[in-house]
Amino acid sequence: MIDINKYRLKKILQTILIYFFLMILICVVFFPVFWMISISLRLNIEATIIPPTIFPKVFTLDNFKNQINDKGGFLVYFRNGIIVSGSVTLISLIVATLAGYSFSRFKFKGQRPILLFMLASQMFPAVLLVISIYVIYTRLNLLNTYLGLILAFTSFALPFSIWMIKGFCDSVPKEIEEAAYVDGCSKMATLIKIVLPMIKPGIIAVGLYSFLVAWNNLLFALTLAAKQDRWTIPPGFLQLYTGEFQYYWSEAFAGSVIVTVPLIIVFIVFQKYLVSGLTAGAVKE
Amino acid sequence: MVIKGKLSNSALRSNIFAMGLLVPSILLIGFTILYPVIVAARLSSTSYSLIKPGSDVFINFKNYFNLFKDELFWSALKNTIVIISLTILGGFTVGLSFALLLNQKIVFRNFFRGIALIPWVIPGVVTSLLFLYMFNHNYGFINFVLKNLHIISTNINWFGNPKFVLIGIILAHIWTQFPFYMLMFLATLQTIPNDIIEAAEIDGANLFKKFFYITLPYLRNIIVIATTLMVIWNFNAFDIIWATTKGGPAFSTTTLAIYVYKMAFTHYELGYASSIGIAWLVILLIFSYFYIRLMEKKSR
Repeated sequence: MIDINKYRLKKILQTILIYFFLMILICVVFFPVFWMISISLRLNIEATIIPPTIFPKVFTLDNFKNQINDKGGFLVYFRNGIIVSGSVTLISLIVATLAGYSFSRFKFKGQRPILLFMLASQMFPAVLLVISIYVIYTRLNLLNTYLGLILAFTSFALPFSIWMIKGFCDSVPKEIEEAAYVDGCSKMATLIKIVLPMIKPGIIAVGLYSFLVAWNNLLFALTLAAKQDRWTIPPGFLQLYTGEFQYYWSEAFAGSVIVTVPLIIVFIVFQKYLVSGLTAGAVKE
Repeated sequence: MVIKGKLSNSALRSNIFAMGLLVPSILLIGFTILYPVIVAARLSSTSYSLIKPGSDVFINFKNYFNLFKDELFWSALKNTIVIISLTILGGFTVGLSFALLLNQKIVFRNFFRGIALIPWVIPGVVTSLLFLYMFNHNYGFINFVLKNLHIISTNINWFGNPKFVLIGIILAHIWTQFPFYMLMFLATLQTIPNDIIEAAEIDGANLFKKFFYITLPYLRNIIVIATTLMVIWNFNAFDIIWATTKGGPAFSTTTLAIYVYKMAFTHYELGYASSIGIAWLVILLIFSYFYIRLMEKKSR
């Protein structure tokens, strides 16, 4: 009797402890995000007072209005970000699906070295690549163009995207495709009609990943687009809020909320696919 | 005979199809990764400078000799190693703890896992703004709390004082990176068969024994893979440092990435900057080779 009670007590204590630490996890992750939202909804004067207030005393949406009215060029950066990241997502989806399928299904001479080079390319210093890309782009007049940014971001996102698609294709049984061949389906038609629907989670994971690479990257955007009208969000924010305007916190955070909160929601909705994509290559089940 | 001929014919077509699928990626990666690496290797043996016309001349390994004598290079390397080791140590510890926690029988596991992704999704520039604000000298939340707890008596200028600046930067890096470790570990933990753990429990293994004799061996491979990736990615870490301190104050947060960037785009010494990048690539290759070899030996 006593033993069972002791066991039960231990289990209950354990559960309480687990949820206590989970609360800490939520606080660690959420506090900065909550803070960002709270500051974005107050007047800038209230962002710099001591003691800091948890919730705004005077609630205002002016910071968001200022951003949407394009104060400081926010809309330009936002539009550039959408154009560049959208194109990067589309291109890398198509290109990575073709390549990942090829690596998963076919064996041919020279395949292994190509795959190894793609994986090893992750190791190349990005800042080294950006120097040579800058030199190459100067010669080809690709500096300050959408095309230049799109090409650079796409290749940057490709190796890992290909790796993810390969992992998803590996987990699809070959027999279904073989049946399709027997029924007279061409190889391309099989890929589009049979394989594509089965690797939908992979498509979602690659789409999210490549969008994020282009949307968040500072180094390439800063270097390859020296002119303000081609800046994406990271260089735009850097210029707007870390230089002489470092004290416009509530506007800076209103902008931050606009560019991150929709992404956060999309990621939480689709997190299952992204996690399986990220771990597909590395974790063997 | 006829059948054999047909088979090899279709195999050949298969090969052409498979290679055809790779053409777009090879073109893209060739244009913005492979070709630039070759250009960089060539640049690294020239004295090319953007502001000195006619400076694109071949000078053999002179850049590399200069590199050895360049004290700033060695202190950038030191800063890089300090930031990387502490970031990875922190990210690893926090990530593993939360992965073990989420592997328990809890409700809403997927929801918690989704939440942990948030820091990873936020752009580095925004993370930097958040940390600059929370660690602000005058009205930052961190100073306010530490002062009220009587841990400090006067406000600390976190991002302006070379003595403290690494703390803020490393914490920001850990915050954005621990989710990656956590996800990798959690996915692996869920592949451990339940009966092994139950058998160990019946045999009377306590928490620590279960961890060291069951969990850890299962995690070994993923620890190697995740840590190698982390080292490579952290060598590249640029956004948060550039957005918070631009490598300062003084030289205290100038890592190799920042040093190369400044050398190339504020001093315009593209040749010398490239040689630093190539040296760093060599360091990484050596590290990855020995690290993976060492881990393979241990797991045998």
